[in-house]
Amino acid sequence: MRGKGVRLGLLFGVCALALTLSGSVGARTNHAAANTTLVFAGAADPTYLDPALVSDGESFRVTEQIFEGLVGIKPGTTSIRPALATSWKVAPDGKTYVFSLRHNVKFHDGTKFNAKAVCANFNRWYNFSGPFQDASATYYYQAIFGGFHHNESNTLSPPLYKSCAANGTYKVTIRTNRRNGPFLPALSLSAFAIQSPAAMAKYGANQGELRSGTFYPTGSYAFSHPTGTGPFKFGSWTVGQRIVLDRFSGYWGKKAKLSRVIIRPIANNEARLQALRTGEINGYDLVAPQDIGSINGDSKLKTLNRPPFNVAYVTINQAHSPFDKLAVRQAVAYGLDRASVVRSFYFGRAVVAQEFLPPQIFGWTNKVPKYPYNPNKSKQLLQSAGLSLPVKVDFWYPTGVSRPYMPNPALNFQAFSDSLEKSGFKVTPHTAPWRPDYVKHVNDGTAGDLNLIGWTGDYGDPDNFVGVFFGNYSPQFGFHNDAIFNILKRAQEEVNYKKRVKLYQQANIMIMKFLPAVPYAHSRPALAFQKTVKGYVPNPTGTDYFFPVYFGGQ
Amino acid sequence: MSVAELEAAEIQLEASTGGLWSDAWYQVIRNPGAILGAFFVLTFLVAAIFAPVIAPYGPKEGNLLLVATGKPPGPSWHHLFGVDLLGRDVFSRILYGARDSLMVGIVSVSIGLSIGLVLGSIAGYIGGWIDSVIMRLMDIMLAIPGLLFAIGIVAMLQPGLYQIMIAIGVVNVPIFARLLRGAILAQRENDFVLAARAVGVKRRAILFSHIMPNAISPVIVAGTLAMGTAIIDVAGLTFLGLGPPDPATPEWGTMLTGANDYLELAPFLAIFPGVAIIISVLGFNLIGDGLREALDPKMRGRA
Amino acid sequence: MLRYLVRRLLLLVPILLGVSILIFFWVRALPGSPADALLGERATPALVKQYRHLYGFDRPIYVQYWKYLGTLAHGDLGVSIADHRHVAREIGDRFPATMELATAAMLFSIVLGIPLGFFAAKRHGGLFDQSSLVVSLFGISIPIFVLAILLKYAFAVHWHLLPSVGRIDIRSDVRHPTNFYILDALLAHDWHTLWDVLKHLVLPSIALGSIPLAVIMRITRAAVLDVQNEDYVRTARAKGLPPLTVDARHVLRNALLPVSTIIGLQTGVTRRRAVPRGRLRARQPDRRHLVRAHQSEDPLLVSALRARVTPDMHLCTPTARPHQLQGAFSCP
Repeated sequence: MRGKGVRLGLLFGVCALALTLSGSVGARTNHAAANTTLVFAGAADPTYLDPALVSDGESFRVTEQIFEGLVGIKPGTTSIRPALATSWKVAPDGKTYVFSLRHNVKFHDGTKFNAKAVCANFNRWYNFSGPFQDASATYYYQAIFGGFHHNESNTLSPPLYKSCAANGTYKVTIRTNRRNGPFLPALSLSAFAIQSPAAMAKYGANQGELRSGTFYPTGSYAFSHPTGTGPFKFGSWTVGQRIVLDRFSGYWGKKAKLSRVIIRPIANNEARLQALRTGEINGYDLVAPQDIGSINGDSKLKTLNRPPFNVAYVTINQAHSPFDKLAVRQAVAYGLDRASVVRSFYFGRAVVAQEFLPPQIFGWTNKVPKYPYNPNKSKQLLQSAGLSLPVKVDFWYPTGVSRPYMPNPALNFQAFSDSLEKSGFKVTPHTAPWRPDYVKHVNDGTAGDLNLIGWTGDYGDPDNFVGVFFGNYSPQFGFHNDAIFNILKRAQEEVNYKKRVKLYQQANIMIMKFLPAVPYAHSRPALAFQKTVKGYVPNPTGTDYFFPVYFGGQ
Repeated sequence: MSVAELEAAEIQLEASTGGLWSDAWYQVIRNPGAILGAFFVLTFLVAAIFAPVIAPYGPKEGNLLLVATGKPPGPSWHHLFGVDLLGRDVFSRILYGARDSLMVGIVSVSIGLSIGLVLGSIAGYIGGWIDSVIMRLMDIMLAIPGLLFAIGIVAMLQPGLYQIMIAIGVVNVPIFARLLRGAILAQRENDFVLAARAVGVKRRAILFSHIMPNAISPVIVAGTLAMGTAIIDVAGLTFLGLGPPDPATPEWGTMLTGANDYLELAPFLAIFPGVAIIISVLGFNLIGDGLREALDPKMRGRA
Repeated sequence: MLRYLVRRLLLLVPILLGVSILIFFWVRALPGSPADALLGERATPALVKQYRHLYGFDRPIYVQYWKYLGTLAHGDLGVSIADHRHVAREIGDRFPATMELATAAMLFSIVLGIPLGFFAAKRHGGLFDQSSLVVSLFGISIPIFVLAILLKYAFAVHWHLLPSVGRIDIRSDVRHPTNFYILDALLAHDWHTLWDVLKHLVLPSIALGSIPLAVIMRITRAAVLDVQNEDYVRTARAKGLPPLTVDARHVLRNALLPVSTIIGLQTGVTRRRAVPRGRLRARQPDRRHLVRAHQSEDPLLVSALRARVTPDMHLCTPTARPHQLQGAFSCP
């Protein structure tokens, strides 16, 4: 008797549960319909929200909405546009920049944006000391500006920045110690955004220390009070859950159409896709290339393309014989079936790279020598170099990683090693976890004769690609070629745009003749959205603007 | 000789004839579940041994032309289980994969089981400070996440399949040790143990012929279940680059987890290795179950 | 009892010390130095050297350990190398979520596992027994992430019954003072939120609970089969006691001994699995995920592992406690 009662109760409970479940789902869709709140998923939480102290995409995704720099980038391109500066002039010496600033701009805390605020920011970076000189805190500052006012380590280079002077309220003169072409485009990086000096002082933005060996901001600024001039202001941050950004009604330009943006971290790409399908998010970044077909096949969803701004390549280490011989490197280039790899493993999301620069960036040229897959030519080249076949090659690939330019390294590796074996090589596979082992081995030049690696650009300058790779001797490639080093140095110091284009085109041709590595793919990453989300324009650099986004009919 | 001594000798005699184990064997081969389990396991063993004869293609033989569209074709007459992303025959890879996967399951669980059994029975039966020391050690091992612990071991031993087996085995040690110790503690105060002790049966004999058969069953069950997780864990470690350096090496766990990112594109890439793992683990479980029943003294003689 | 508890707690000290030694030396023994992990793609030999000196990685290892222990004793758990987040803060942020999920998953597996195992034993050899074996093996043999994807596909994407990700409706602005969402909702008498939080727990609990469920079920079954033929059970039955009473008083009670051991073990394991469970719900860039490092542009793999080791250690040390208490339970 009692047993039956329990069972009946259980049955009733289950029915009630099912009813409530279905009921509540109805309510969910209703309140999602009328909204001006966008929920967007990234892969992880930001590090923290002081843009000067971070270097990862997930942090910039948030800071880009809160802050603006003197210059920004034109949506969808890598070319710069006026932002907080309305115009600028470079003096003939190439070392003096005069910026005219936008009037009537206010920070989110109500303080005024002016020349003093600009200089306060430049001087803050320049005067960073102690823990702030840590490369993990100020990576981008060090990459562009070199060192600080007082370098506390002899590994830091002399500073590029010299001084900042306010001429009146809305004019600023910035002087540098040397000519530097990438300086202006680099100012579009979120890392050089202008922050409210008052808020930084109030919330301890310049407090930080090294704890257990890592930089950590001790003030509350970078966690709960980031204050800029951007179209959205900071709302709240619940670690692991969400970041809330609210529309800034005092914005100087066109106000954001969304009243609120919620950015949430979802680490797994399958989970991001499913959350998009259930409507728990409206869009997400870092779509896995193999999912794009099924997203486009869904009547409620769409994908957007991010212009390619990366390169995947096979390193050739010339410190290892016989790869110091040009003919052997050419044999490698002819022996890599790059077209098949791009066709089979990038799901139509990539083009075969013929040089290290992506085609969108200036300095790219079609006049470089090309190396289509040709196993017979490879074998001939190897024999002409006086080698007996097969030539042994130690080939490395990383595990535990997927990058936009290399979605599945093991697949690339297996296809490449098959094609090399058909071209007169005998491949010894070797692997290591991506970080720190693999990357360290590649950087140190200890990752075999050949290895798979790549690069995603930070800002729209060729120096950020070829200058980084081949501007100096590096153990990764193991070669000294003064002609290449010199032309890249000249191109970096040149501030005349047309001359720079010429120089980089020349450099690219020289590099592809010399073959320090074999580039094979520029991929187009994708974002996925519900079809009702409009106005989102993906930038090549990977950091996008939310202010033009709105909800519209399908 | 007193009566008690006589009895003790008798009990010992009975225990040392090995009757328990031969009896158990007799039970196992009469258990239909165990026979079915043995059949599954044998099938895969045969597949593993004769893979080169049975498999229509080589395990590493790929054809990129088959996947030129980016979408690997599913099962067909040419490729019973379809082809993978590199254009390799999945059926052939499953057959060859049986070699490493079965070995990993068996070897790693055997390592964990044997060390765990020794430590657990020492701790459980001897007790005292030895028990404390062993169990605190086990606690420390348990406090470290299994995967991290395994990574550490493999990192020290150099990457490779054998090293992975050792690592997974070691990680399992505290689980088996704890389980056995608990069961022994429960049996230690049982009437029949007290009786045996009272009549002066040697400690070792009590442990092996009286306590063990009663205490072992949870360990056998846990052991056969651990076989499945071991095969999957290999995949995790291989993914980290701690497995065999040649990514083409066929192995079920890696095939299954590798298909994770392509579930929407080609679900069969996950299904076939998944089914292979389930069937082989099922096989081991059925055998384990039969063994468990056979070893159970209370069920003995009740055929 | 008090003396017993004090003794147990004192025993935690050598365990904690042992764990800290093991973890510390193990992390240092991994290939690649912490300095490399910090610098990653951007490492140059000079920078690495500078870092090693700056952070004291070039000092003798026992000195480093001593310093590490000192900072631990001060309650400073250090800063995660991977994402610069403060470890103590990180634990405060993540621990409640992990605990909630691990508890829910264990409840799911215990509540379902014991009865299922019991019935399987009662109908030993029958259809229910056989099918429960196959189902539990499915639970063991399918990686959690595959199961999670399948569950979400069915219940969230296809039937729209349950949410697929997160702890709570993402648009909700409810405050969470303790960060234990269930507790917070209960304290605030906010039933709507409580229901929302519970719904978010269902799918991850099932996915995470699948392995413990299978293990508990199989062990329960084995234990019940063992006990069922004990003399005292036969005696009780022969005495003519109602079958339900025999089952409850004699069979189940005695069978629960090994089951409780395995529950203790699985609780630890589940809590540790719950940390990497971000596959299903993105409470954090989860460990196994970091390990696999899909698509994320974040610092990856070992640097992440290294960074996580400290929080893991602190998340996991409490797991020693259930065993202790459980040990108290099974000690004669």
